[in-house]
Amino acid sequence: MMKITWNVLFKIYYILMAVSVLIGLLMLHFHMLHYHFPFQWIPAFFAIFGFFGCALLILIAKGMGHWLMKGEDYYEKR
Amino acid sequence: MIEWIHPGIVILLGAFLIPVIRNEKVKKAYFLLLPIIGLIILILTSMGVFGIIPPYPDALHKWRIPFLHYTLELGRIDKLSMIFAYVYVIAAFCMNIFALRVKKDWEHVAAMIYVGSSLGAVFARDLFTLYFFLEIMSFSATFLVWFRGTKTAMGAGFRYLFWHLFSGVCVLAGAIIHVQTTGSIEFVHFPWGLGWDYFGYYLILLGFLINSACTPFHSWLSDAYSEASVTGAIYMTAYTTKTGIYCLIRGFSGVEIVMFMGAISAVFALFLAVLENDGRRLCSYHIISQLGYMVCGVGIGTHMAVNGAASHALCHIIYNALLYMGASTVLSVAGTSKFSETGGLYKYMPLSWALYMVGGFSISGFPLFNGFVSKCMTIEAAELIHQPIVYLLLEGATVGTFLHTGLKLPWNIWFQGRKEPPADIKAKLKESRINTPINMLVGMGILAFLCIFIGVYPYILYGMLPHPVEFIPFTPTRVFSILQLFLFTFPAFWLLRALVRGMPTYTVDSDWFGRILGSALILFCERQLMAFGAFIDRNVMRMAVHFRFLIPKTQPVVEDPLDKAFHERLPALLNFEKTHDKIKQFKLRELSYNLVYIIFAMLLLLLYILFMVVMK
Repeated sequence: MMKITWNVLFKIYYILMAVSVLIGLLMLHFHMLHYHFPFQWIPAFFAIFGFFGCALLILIAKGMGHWLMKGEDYYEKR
Repeated sequence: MIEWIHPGIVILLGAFLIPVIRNEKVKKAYFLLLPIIGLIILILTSMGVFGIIPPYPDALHKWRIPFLHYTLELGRIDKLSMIFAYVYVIAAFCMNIFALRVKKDWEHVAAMIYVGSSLGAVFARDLFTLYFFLEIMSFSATFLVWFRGTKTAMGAGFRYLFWHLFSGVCVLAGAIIHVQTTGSIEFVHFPWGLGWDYFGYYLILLGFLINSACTPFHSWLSDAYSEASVTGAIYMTAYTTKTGIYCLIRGFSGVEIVMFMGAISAVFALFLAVLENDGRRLCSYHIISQLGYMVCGVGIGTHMAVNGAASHALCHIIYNALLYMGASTVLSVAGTSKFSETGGLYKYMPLSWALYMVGGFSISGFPLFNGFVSKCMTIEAAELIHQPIVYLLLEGATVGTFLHTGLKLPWNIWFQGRKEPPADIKAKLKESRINTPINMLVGMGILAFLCIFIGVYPYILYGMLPHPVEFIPFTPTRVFSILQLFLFTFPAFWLLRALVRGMPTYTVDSDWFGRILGSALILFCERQLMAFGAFIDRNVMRMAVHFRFLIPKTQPVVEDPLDKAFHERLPALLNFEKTHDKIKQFKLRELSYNLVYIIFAMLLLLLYILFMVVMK
């Protein structure tokens, strides 16, 4: 039996991601999904939204951090 | 018919018995009994013992108190108030278990007064009763902050109190305008529109929005909650803000601007959460974000959206208390909840982690957890009224919520790539897999069970909502979309995990305006303005010297030794020398200042004359 390591877990995760995109495309093809806005019909919209939404959130926030992040005693010093 | 018993008043007055009880075990039992009594009263109310809901006025006879020309009504029992009351007492029970080992009696008293008064606010039928209970809530919650006992907690408590006194005054002012125009003090759905006619309602809305921590009035929440005492903060997560949401649902459902404010609030707090280093502050930003969903639902105002807001408030109390408990166990066991000082705690506190993760999945809206069944309603309502921007903001907030509570916080506190925690924390831990006190785990366990139970069987929740529910949460579209969303959030986090690692920093929020500009204003008043005032005083005195001739010279002068001594010491008392030095700096511009002063005085005189003319 294969030993469960982080590498194996990550490989399973990649497969899951691929499978979810495939299932999504199939469900779209067979009209099993019901959406309200046109952009939701983009293939794998939620995958793109999840990945780039998360990345953008972190990057923009880090950009804001240049102004907003201060020393821990910021208010005590004043 | 039996007279209704007000559960809030029972808990509020019952709180004062806690310090009187001497026996430790009896005290603990009584402390746990208080919310159970509240729950029993609510169950009896639902069973119709006091009459059918809404009950006949007879049952509420004693709770109508004449006041001036009005009647204060402490009882309004309908589906909306009952659902909030139920979750308030159930949450209070779990929180009491969590706080069972706290030795400060008065902290328990403050907590129970807080719970009781929030029940009072939820059952209030008129605006004055509502105001009264909101004020008691603000004060008791301030004490929960102060019981932490640190210097920063003192400051945070004061700031919390100021915000809530301000919101209370707004509600009171609005209520008075409302009473003046309509003649009724009943708390009803307020009319909405543009113009001065609605000014009173704008004030009330502002008060409610501050209470529900809507951006840009949110900074008090992360400030006070993260400084509050370990168990006090748990109580605070539930009551103030959710009472704010309750008031918004009652008074302002369907107001469009509220919808946009809520959606922005849901996302904005997440940006600040990325930069956050403290576990409890991060959870506080998630309260703000989740409140954004509810405020947005209230703003959308359709039956589905209001149901969504109410059910989300209910689920939020449960899972957020759980999340906060998770962060608080780390604070109480390891002495800190800062990401830069923790990591590798998994080996020592795996149960806390597991229970926390139930809360993490719930707040993210994972299927089969309670956040999913309530959050979807609000998002679906935004879809149904064709608001793509609101929809994208809310869906984006889901991604951010999972990123922080499901990934960032647990990774930073329990893992961070370390097998062992830093040495100073390790010294505080036992070589055991259970370092968390058992009562804390029991409190968390009950809440975690509720999270999963409502998530798996949401119809028990839907049956209690104010409007009939025709909503099926588990459709293939919704379940598939949200799973795919989360599946792809993780790789983005994993790639950028170095960026969300805790750093020993403090993130400035919108309270910067109050704290820095406010203190600058006070400094300005203390220095420049006082110096200017002294300068004017001196000149007035100098001018007065020219009118010495008016005093008759023959007037006998009565020497009072005490009076003389006082006048001799007066300059020293008022520290004239110091201001005199400052005044010297102004010497060159003295003449122009004099001119400005005289012109100003003449203008005032002119205005006065004009005013008199117009009045005639």
